[in-house]
Amino acid sequence: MSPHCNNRISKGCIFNFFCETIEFFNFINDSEFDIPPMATPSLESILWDMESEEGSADNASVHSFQSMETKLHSVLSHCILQGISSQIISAGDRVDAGMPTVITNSVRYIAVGTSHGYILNFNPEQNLCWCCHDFNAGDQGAISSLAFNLDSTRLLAGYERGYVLMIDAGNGDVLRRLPDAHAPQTAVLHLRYTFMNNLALCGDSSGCIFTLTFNRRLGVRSWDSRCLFSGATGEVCIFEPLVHGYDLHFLSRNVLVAMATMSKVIVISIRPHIKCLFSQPLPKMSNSLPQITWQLISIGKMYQPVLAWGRGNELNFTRLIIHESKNIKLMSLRNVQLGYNSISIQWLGTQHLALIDTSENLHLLDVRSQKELEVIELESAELVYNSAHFKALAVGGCVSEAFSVAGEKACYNSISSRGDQLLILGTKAVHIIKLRSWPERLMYLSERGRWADALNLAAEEGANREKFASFLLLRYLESLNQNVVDKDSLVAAVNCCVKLNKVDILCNELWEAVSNDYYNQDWYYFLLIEHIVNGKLTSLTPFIAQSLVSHLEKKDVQTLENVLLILEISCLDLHQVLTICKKYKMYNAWIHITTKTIGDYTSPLTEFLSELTPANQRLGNTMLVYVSSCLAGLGYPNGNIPKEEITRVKFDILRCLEALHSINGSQNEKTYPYLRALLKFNMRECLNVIELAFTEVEFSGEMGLLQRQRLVQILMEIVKPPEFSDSEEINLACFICRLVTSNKLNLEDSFLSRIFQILMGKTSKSIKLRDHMEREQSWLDLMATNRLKDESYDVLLKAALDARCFRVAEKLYELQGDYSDILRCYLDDVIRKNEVFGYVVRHIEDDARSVREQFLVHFKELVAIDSKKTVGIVNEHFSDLIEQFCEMLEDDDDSRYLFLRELISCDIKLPSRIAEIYLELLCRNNTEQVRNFVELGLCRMEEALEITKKYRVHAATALLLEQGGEWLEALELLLEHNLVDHALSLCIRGAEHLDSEGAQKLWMVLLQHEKSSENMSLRQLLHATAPHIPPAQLLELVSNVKFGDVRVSLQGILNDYVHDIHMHSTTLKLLSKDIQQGLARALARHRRGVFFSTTCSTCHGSLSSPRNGDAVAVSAWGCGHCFHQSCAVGSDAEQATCPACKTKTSLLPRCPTTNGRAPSVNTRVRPDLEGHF
Amino acid sequence: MANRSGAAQRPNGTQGKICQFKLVLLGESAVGKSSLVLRFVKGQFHEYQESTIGAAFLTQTVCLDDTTVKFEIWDTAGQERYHSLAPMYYRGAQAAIVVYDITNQDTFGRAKTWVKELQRQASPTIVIALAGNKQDLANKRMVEFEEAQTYADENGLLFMETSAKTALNVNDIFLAIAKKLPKYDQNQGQSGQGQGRRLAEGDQGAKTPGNCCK
Repeated sequence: MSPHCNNRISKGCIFNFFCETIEFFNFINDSEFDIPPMATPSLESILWDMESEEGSADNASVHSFQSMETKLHSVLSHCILQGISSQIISAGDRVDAGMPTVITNSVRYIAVGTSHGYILNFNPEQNLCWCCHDFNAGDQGAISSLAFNLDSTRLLAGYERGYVLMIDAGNGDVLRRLPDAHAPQTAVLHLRYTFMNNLALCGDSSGCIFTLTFNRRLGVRSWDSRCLFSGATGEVCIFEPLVHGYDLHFLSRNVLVAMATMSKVIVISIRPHIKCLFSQPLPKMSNSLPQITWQLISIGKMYQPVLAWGRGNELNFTRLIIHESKNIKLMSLRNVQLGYNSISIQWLGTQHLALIDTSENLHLLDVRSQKELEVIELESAELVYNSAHFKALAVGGCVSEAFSVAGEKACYNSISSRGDQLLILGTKAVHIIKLRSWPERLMYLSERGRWADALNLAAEEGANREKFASFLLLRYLESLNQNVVDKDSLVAAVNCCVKLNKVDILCNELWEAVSNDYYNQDWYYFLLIEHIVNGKLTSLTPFIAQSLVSHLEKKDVQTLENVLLILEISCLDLHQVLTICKKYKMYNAWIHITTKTIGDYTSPLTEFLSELTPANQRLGNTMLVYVSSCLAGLGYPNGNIPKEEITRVKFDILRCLEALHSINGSQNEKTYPYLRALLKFNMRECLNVIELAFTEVEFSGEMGLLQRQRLVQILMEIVKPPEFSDSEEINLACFICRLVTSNKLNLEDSFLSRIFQILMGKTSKSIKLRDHMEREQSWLDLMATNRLKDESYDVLLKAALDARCFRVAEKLYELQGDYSDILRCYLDDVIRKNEVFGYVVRHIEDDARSVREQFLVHFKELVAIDSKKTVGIVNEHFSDLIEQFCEMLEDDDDSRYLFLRELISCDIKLPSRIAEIYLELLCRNNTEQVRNFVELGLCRMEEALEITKKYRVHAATALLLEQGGEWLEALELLLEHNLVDHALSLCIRGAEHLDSEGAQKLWMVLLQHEKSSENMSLRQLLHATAPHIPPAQLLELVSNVKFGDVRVSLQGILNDYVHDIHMHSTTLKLLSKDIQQGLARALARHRRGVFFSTTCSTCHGSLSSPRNGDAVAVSAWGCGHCFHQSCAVGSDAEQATCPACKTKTSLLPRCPTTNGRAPSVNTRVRPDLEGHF
Repeated sequence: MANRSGAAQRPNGTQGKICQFKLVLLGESAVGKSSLVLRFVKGQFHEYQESTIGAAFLTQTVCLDDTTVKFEIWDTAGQERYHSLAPMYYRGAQAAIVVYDITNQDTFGRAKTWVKELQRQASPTIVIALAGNKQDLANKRMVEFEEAQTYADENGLLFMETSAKTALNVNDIFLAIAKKLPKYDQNQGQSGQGQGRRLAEGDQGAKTPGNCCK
């Protein structure tokens, strides 16, 4: 018990002065320390609140963070725990407690260890509960690690000299001393309780982990320590038992510990059995420590522990999965690359990670989106590092090098996380970083007057937490009473109101706030309109709607209409709106409002059709579309007619169209005013609308047929001349014919015959082309369906010809087998003129149709229509009649010209007479082409010359002259008419065809021509001339010109000269080089050693043995052949040719032979230079 | 069109209760509904008031003791074709004035059917007033004052004979309605600041120790 006494004494005295300091700090106000207003909440008020974090609200806040911009800086609040900080400093001053080194917390306490072995324990109100310094243990150095157990009843404290204490967290009594719980001469780096009160873990600076188990039997406290993991196999930098989730069934029996060595992350289970569950290599980074941290995260409905681990700039998430409450598995979730190296990773809540980088910035990372939400600079906090412990300086520093290098920035024990808060131990103060919840952020922003940010945040998130948002809005409005409205916040406020559907706030309070200022009003309207047009705002209070309408009436009527189409009708002042609609002719809005409110679908017709004129396109089209969509059962301009209304609406519209007179119609009003107006506006479109409507259910079946007939009869009644033009009548007739031919209509014969009369009878030329074609088509359809069988052929034909319906006429001819005039039908038909050739080609082989004859008869017209196609046919079928055709066209030069031109272009060989005719025509019509034509040489020379001369087509004349060999004459002609280009090419040709003298003559003439320089520069001319005339002569000719013009020529001459010189010297060089090389080769050959045979090459007798007793005379050549002098008969030593190989080498000098000795030749042979070169 | 009220401070500084009421005018066409409203709101009278299309919206604020009553007046069109619109306007209205023309017995009959319709379909707390308009043409009177008064008493209606032309009883009938309307002390009743307080509380929050423990 004695140690306890010591404790109490020390505690007592410290308490005394702490009482003073607490009082002292009580009257320090925040402003003196320049602390933000949020800086002094009591710990209780900001206590971790996991429930609120993980409730339904949590999801919402995630979204809000995702959409937050980092610059807002409203997610994290950073404050200083003033009470704790001041007491730490005070303890340092009064009892020499030293600097703070370690911090840890539990639900009930915050404990801080100091460098002189003091432990200060605070409650959440920042009051000091106790202070402990165990004098019994001697000087154990700084506290290097602290750990509370789960119940906050025990505190384990580790010292840098390896001592471990167990303290009662409630009163600071030392319960157990563990002097040798781990390897000797090492510092305690980590102490962690598992969720079991009798099991803790201890890590030391040798990288080992020990399990500490505590027992109490019969009141005697004992403990036991066992090595769990030896540092020899890999030094453990950090370990973290899984404490969260111990109350979950599946984890209650398993004690899991995640640990990180220098190279690996390992998760092991130590209870019930020791087992390794997971092992992953860590990125290799020698200078940074691995980080691991557990959190319980709700995945689906389950809570599952997730381990965040990493090192340097890598971050990984691994999830723990339990199968059938037995098998535990770990599954990697994702890997994140960070833009910085982290020295600490801690969970903040379940959605966020706080990462501190090497330059002491705290990054808030949203786990799901991996987005960095905010960065806070912590530099001012002067974060406490534990590197001294990592290097075990206090016990001699015998740690591995890798460990001490990595531990340079160790801060495992100076950052303590709990829930959504982070305690950071600085040298002078304890900082707290807290995640703000969504309402807190609103408060924070609004208190700072950052209304735009606050309101935007509210708008994004407010749907779920309306009361906060609407309160914020009210606060904003209050602030508006005092401040000037700024545009950004107004935008945000309107946006917020619209998002949250706060129409009353939008239209009342907000309006009042802006109504004083004209510009704000304008802006307010602008915002409203934007939201309305985007379809996000459909309802306003009547008052605002009314003023918005009158505002827009003055500014932008088009937008007004759009706005009216979107706004709910019940908030509109109908009287005002409808009056404006009428005034500005906003037909769409008028129709929309009238039909939607009164359900009166005929009123648009009755209201507007009276003012419908063909000139009022907009109204007319609107009406047609309106009628069309009503008859199709669709709403106008959008939406649908209520289902139960559709039948009525269709009926109403029809009834209205078929109404004989309008309600307020005057006496002289024409019948069927509405339908008449529409028909008059645009007959064709109106009929299309009706035709479309006929496909609806209402017009099918027996009744539908009657309806259709009735409507058609009305149409017939209305559409009568002179009110309607022929075209319009024909339109109607075609319309009815279409119906009749498709069997949609059954009309009486008398009625039909009237239709036919219209269809056939109108001969006016004012009918539009489109109508005319429709009419022909209808007519043909009628014939095809046999509706016209009563009419006689002659009558029909006459009618068709009169009405210029030539397709009909053709059809009639065809039916009748009368082919003689079919070609005529084509030729007379303006539209189908060009199709005649198709007909001709199709039927030219058909003798019955006598197309050939007709072709000849109508040849002239055909040429006029399309000479090319005509020529095509002529070429194919009438190639022998070309001359006759030409004669046929004699009186029409244009046609003849076209015809002949096409013939020429088809490469047809024309007789020269015709060619001359064409030449003449060409001279008249297109002189450009004459020369090309002449070049073809189809014409006779004299005639052609005559013609070209007549028409003064000089180029062609010159060409003809040239062809006749009269070059000079041609050239002179050309030059006379200044056709220098032609002249030049003539000269060039001349140079090819004539002898040099003739050519030179031509060039001279050309050069001497005075005007030549007008069209073509002299330089060009000279350039062209140069190859053909000696330069000297050329320069003489142009002696009087400027230097610039002859410069190129001169340059050319000089260049040639230089080139020649160069070539000459090069050649000489090459030659002498060759000679040198040859000499060297020859020398080499003749210097080599020669083997002489000892036998004569002729007789094969030995050269050394005497022959016939004579002394042997031997001849040897440079090639190695040797002979008896006698054997080399005929070979003259003077000739110097070896008789064996005929090589010209010199005979070696005679050498005296001695008996018994082979001739040893060691002579130098000179090459015969002359022989080689 | 819910009844909205609040005690926000007005820019003009008027402190006091502000009540906002929705009022609808009903009646046969050409009985003078629009004229009545015009007289009340703008103090004007046009001999040839154009016929209302659909419905017109006007507002007028009257002071009653310490309360400011803001009327949102929907002046509906009397023409038969717009009859179907009326429910849109009297639904949710706190007050209605049914107008008839004292020189035309038919309009009185029509007024009675309007009253019936209101009693049947409008809000049960609606305050209905009956106005016999064109009192200035009393010499052409076709509906006796007593007859209308009796009818009004039987049905619990406010009743006055008015004249938009001479402004007789025009303001009176609106004021009478304003007086009869229930005026809650809105400051204690509703949302507004109460929520704010809750937010403030929520900010500091009653916290319970979490399940996150190391």
